[in-house]
Amino acid sequence: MSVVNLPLKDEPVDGRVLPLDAAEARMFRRPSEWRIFWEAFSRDHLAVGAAALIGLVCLISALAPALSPYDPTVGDNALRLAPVGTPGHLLGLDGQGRDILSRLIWGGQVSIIIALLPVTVASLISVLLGLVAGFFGGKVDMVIMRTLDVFFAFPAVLLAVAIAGVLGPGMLNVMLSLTIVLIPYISRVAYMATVTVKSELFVDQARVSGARPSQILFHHILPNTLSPVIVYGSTLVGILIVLGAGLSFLGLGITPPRPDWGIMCSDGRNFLSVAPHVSAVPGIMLILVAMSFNIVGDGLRDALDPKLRR
Amino acid sequence: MPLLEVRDLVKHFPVRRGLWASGPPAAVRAVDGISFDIRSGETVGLVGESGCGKTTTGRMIMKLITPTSGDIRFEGKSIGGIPFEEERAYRRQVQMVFQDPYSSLNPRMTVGSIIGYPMRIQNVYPGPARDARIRELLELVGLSRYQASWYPHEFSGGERQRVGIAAALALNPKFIFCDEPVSSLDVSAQAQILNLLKDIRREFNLTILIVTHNLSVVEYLSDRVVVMYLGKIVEVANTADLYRETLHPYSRALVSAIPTPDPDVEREREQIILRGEIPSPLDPPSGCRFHTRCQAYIGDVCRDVEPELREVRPGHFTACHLYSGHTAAPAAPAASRPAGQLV
Amino acid sequence: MSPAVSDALLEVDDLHTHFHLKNKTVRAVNGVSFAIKRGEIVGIAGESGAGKSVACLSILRLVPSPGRIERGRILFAGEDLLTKSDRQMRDLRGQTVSMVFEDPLNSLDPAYTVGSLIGEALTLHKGLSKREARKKAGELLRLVGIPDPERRLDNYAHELSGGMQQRVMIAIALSCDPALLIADNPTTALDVTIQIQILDLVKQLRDRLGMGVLWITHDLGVVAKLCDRVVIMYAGEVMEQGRVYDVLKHPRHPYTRRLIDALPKLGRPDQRLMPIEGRPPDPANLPAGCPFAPRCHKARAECGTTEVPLVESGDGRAVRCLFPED
Repeated sequence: MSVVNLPLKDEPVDGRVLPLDAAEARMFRRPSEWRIFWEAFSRDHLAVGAAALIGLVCLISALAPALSPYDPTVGDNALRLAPVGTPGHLLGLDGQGRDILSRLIWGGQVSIIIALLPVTVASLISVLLGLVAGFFGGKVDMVIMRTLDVFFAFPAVLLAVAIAGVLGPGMLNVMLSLTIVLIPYISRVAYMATVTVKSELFVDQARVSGARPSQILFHHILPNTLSPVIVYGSTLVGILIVLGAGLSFLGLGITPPRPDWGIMCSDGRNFLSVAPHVSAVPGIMLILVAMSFNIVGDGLRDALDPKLRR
Repeated sequence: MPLLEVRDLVKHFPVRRGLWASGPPAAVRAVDGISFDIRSGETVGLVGESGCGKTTTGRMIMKLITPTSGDIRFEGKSIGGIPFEEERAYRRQVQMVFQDPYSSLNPRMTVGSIIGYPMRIQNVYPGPARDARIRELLELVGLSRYQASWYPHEFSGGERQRVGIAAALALNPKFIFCDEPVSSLDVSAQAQILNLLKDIRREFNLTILIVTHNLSVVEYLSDRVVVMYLGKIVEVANTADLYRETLHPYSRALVSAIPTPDPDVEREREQIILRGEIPSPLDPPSGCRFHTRCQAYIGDVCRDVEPELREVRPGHFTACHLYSGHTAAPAAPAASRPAGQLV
Repeated sequence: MSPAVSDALLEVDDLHTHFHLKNKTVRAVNGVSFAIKRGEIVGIAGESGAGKSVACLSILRLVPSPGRIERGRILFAGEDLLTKSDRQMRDLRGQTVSMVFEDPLNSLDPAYTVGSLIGEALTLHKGLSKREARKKAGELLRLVGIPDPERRLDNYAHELSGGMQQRVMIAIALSCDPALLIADNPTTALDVTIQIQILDLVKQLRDRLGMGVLWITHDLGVVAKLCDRVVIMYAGEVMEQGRVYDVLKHPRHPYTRRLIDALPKLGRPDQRLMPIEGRPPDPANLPAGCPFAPRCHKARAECGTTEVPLVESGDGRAVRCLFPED
């Protein structure tokens, strides 16, 4: 029996080919899961670039205390609304004379965490809900998914605003509100993935081997459910960056004087005709980062699908 | 004692209906009371077309579905309602090869892990012995021991099916259920897998139940054949006897419908073209289920009375009124009615 | 457009159809030639990927882009279809040459009743009124053996069984009295007792209507049951063709021989199956010379280097092999 795609040097023995030595054995070796993922991901140059951008932004924001040129909350009245390129203030100053670059750097901390943390927490909860509902089916499925359906009835943004309105402003409340809003969406993705995987024959094979339901869930269903959730999650981070900024814009976000990109946009509302850079700069940042997350999400989707890899 | 006994096995799948539907609750009567044995070391072919219940039967034997009623006994002991540990022990002895090689292998696992998985679950062959066994199994099915770190998508359909067979052999089972093992493969891969199955069953003295709609495959592999139609068994016989003297009209139609690439055989054999469609298992015909299409319909008895499975020749059973109540059964039925008008 | 009186209904001559992808060219059909006479059932057989479906789509010029017919002639009733305009082809399709596909559920629009589906071709091509079309549709359903045809006209495709759906497909294909019917694997998904009904139906229709039939399949048994002549394809080329009896009983090409040897034969369970070593070649990367040479047990050096011609030996028999069996 010949083996696929390999140069055969030996005479067949009983119809099977036995390679000569370790050199041949090395020919068969396959790279590890991470390597395969990285090779596939790196083929998408755009995604790599987007990921690099995100990494850079996160790094700079994380190092805000060290990197920020000025105190973001202190304003210099004399230089109010100075434009981009003002000496000493690369991105200009806002309505209260505060350095925009500094506020941008500090603001990144808030804007990104407000997006990342809710997605992460919601994902954990949703994967659990989706797995349980999808795997056990029947009444459990009905109870969980129908309850989540109630939340679907409300447009996400409206729901976020409503919850934030009830809870009041503040970073924690914003994140709580966003987490709650996300759970139905991610759960549905996890649920669909679970239901699809459950009907695959390899799950039957696991049952035939004697695996317990918990083993089947962890060994087979969870790994195949994680990829769609990860891909969807990265897109959601992008959306949440904008949604979080939106909440801040409406005054339902973090409390001043801490900056975040949403509040920065809001601050510049009154100066749009004379000093558009006050809103434009954080706005552009929001677009760039949100889009980057989307692009990374696409790249992840292609890289995580084992069939698309080669 | 037979290795596996199936007794009065029934499986009805309830069908959900709207709130305002009337009448008794509907059910798909997939398997409607069948009994047969499988002896140790033999290969039994379970054949039939859509809706006959063969796959459902196999899945009940594998404990993937629970029967509505009836019993399945392995080595004399019932497998129904047993505690988890006993079920686990049962599964060590009874394994399965699946129909679709593209769905039966987890795309995220290497084939080595896939083959090793049953051993991992059952906690047998620990440590390096497991690796050694995985490589041994790979070679046994005609792949290379060094391909253990490859992923399923790197193999062709036939090769993936080999991986599936290797995984089925991992626990050294006594019994393997093959569910349409070659239906999704092309001609050459099909031949390779059939040969492989023939070789390993001899080497490991396996008992095999093969479910398929392809009678030539069944003839190639099986010692005995069970023919099913709409949830019931219509004929049971040794392979040679079945093809030599096919008793039940449905079996005869089935055999005559199998395409074979030999024009002489095509020319010489009888051509039975049944009338109509296969009825739905939701509402099977009364009496003999085959009576609506039967080319040898005798009369009201076929419509009203369900025939029993009787031994008409030594070791050859059939459920048909042509043979009921006769110990010395007639030879092949008189000239069949001409194939129904199609045009 | 009525076909000329000559015997040859369709003549495919040196057809080449390639798919031009971003970084490679998939050569699906490489020099296929065959002919069909009126009233003849010709089977095109081969494993998956041999190019059978692409060849037939080429005849109707329905090859999806990025596929293109590179070379060849397709003579239908003496006229080369490759020189016809799009409009002329549209008139041809469904009317003079019609096609039946593999999966009826995918090919029948679920939004329309059976009556509308059949009627569409009639009103479109023959200009019948809706009432006339419905009447003709009922007759067609009876023709293809569907019981209670008047009621079936109001059914939707998914309400019918697989066998019935396939009959509806055939009814649609026959609605405009085509001279040629092309069928791509229409019975693979059906149970055998239903398949044999359809095969019998096709033979009866051929007898009654005198049309030519081109039947694609990978099952040589179906070829033996249904076809008068067969064309064996591999890697986009014709390996052997001729009368079914001759080709299946006395195959001359090693590939045909190996195909037959790999099948379990009814009545001979002890004969060990002989699988064919290796895999079919990648159509984007075809080897030089005979495409079957890498897997052929009789191959010699010349087989991998020379272009092997299709040699005719009279009576429609032809083999593409340097060392054909006898």
